[in-house]
Amino acid sequence: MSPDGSVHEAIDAIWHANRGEMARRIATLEEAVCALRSDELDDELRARAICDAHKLAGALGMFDLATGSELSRELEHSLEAAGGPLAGELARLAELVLALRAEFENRMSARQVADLTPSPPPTSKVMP
Amino acid sequence: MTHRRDPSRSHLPSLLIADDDPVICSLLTAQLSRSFDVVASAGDAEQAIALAVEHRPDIAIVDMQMPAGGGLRAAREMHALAPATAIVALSADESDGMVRDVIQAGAIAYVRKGVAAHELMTTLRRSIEAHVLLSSPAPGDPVTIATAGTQL
Repeated sequence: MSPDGSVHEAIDAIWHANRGEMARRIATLEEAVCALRSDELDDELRARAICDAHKLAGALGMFDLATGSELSRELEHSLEAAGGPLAGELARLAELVLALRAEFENRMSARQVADLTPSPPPTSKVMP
Repeated sequence: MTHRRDPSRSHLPSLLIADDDPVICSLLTAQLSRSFDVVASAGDAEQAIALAVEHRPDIAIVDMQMPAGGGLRAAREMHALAPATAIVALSADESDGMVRDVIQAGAIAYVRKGVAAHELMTTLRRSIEAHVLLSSPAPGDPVTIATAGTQL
């Protein structure tokens, strides 16, 4: 296996080991946007959402999910704004979270396809 | 997390990774362990400073937003206590103010969080080359020759 292949395998393994944590971080953002929709976003949830958006922005880019990284960054900045996001930004935040979830699920699907792809059959057989 | 240097990897530059996100630490280790000997990883500023003093790594990647004082504080103290360590700041904040603060704290390069692995490698390579040039003592010094001969 080429050295680059072993790095990709290592990164895939890290994704596999941490996909639950990535999903949890996205769920926090979904929870925050829902709370915002019903005007119930408190300081604790907002702080958790900012922290998780920040961590997603960093990690997703390194998993080659540049779009996911940018979406997370925009969510982080909106949530961080003084006084919190404005009512007019709610639709945009909902779009961002949906798109982020889609990026994550696409990465998950691609990984599952790779896991399910069978090994090629042997190319030779010794006949008695 | 820390480990004793493997003699078979002593030809590689030693690296300290400091980030409060263990996923980032794992990713950086996976991406960089072919070209660097990752000697330690830290989860906060206090740990980063202590490990830099203990290991005197050739290079340290330091997240600018860490608990226990933050990455800027870690960079300043590491620069003061382990001046031979080249500090590369890792941050999601690209503002002019952050970049200026990072350089004033002693970092020799800044990497935006979320960059692809090949961009990170290019920045680290250039950082080491620049650090060697800027800190070169008189010709013939064995430490400088060993560092300059490191291939990435």
